[in-house]
Amino acid sequence: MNLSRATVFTGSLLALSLMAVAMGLMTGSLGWAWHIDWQDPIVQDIRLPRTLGAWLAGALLGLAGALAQGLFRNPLADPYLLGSASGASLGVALALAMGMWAYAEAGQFSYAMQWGFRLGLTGMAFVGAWVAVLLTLMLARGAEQTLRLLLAGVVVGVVLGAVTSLVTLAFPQTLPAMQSFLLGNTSMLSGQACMMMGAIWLVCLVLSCLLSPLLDGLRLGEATAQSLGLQVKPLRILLLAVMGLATASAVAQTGLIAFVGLVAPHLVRSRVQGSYASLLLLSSLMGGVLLTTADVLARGLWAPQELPVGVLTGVLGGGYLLWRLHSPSAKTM
Amino acid sequence: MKTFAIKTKDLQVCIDKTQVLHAMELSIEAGQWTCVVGPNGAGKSTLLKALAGLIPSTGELTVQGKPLSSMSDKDRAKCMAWLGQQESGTDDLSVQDVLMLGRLPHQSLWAGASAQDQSIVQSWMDRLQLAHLQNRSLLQLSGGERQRVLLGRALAVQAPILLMDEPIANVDIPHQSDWLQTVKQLTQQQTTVVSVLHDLNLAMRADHVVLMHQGRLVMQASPDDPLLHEALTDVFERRMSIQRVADQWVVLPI
Repeated sequence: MNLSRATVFTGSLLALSLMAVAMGLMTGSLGWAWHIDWQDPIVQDIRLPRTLGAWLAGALLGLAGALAQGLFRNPLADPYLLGSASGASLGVALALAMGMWAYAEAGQFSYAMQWGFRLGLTGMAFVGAWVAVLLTLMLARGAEQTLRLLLAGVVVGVVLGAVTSLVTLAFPQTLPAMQSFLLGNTSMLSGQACMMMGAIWLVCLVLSCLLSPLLDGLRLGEATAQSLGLQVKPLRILLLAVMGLATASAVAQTGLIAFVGLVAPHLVRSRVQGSYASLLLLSSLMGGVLLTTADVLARGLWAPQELPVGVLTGVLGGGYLLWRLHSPSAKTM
Repeated sequence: MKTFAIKTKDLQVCIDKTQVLHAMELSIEAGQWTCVVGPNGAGKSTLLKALAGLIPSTGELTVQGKPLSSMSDKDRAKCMAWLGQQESGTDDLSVQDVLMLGRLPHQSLWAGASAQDQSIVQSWMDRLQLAHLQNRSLLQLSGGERQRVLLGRALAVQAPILLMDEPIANVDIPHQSDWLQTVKQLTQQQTTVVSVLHDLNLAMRADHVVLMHQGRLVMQASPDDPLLHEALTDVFERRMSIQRVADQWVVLPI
């Protein structure tokens, strides 16, 4: 691996992250301000958790995307195409429905209930994401057949999407929250959500980097990985769990934000080669930069009107992939 | 006295309830090149995978005197390097990264490449004349260069046994010649080489030939053995002849 290039790239992504976060703190509904007023409660209570949360959600999605592409040896694999985002959506819909019911029973949310609700949201999203990935793998009869895997992911996504709609119809009071969730939204991110995503991001990053030799071995095929003494099945299950946790925690807090998980690893691979340990870290940093930038643009482009950030990432990410498909380097995708 | 790197007794493999290998009794001599041949569907690749412990099998299988089933995954990987058929990278791995994959059996899950790993990879890059390609992507190389890199990956394991499935398929004559030289050097250094080859002309250059047909062992013999020539001709429907040309056996289709 070209270490100096990777180091420069890491430094650039960290610098870009700081710039994007600073821009996030300076961007409000009335447009841009050219300084950060740390005493301003709006900065402290709204912009700071929102911007940090956007970075963390992007970092989780970038990491999950790099894991999916490595695990399934497929550059088109991302947490959404494998159905895990749809599964997470269903989990969130069920958690919202149950939360609304609990709120109706108790009359108000205590601090402990707020934490419990967030944990329950993430937990349900995690279970939903995992169930969806397992369903996709069962339908595809493993992860080796690329086309079958992607088709199975589409089928699982559609079916679970339909079930999510049914849950939403059955509990109409969840409709506004679900609509915001489906469009992808960073405006409701709180300090609690940031702490939770930050902790999960650290755990997922450390675990996936430690288990990354499997992804390196899988690059030449499952049999080769096995011949290199790697315990493919248990390590793959562990990494799938990490991918599910990363996806679920991001989706539970910000809703469906498309293409970040798919595009971030592509952008990294177009600049640096190397072991998966560095690709995972760089994809995660890239995901953070992408989503924070998209969040700033979503707030600033039509201020005071705000665009749903998921719509913006969909347009930008889709455009990027179309451009890559038609570029001369498309054969490496 | 002969020593055997791999021995099998009544080795059988079933895939999806279909028996693919029947009662294989093999003795692979240590420090020699053994080549497995046979028509398409004979079970050659399955045999190699079973020997490498990559697919479940029944019967006895001992590697360097130890039952394979008693070896840990890491020990098995350090003992037997495996080069699969048409291994290919899915993304832009550099040549150096590919060779470094061969050092995975020697690394713990929590530690990266050591200075010794770097030096072993560098030495194989030099020996296989890959040093000038070390930062090139695997996808940018020609078929012959790519095969050399993948061979380097298997050799970087530094295992006493090397198993190769069709290592020179679609490779031109100069690269085939390089491969033959490498195999000869390896056996001189007491590495046991077992390869599956479709090219019978190259297979007849091995120290021993294992002939398979319909999942069964037909014969294991030296390439000079007239009985092997007869068996080969039979298995390939008597549509070939084996002749001695320039001190080598040459197989010609009729």
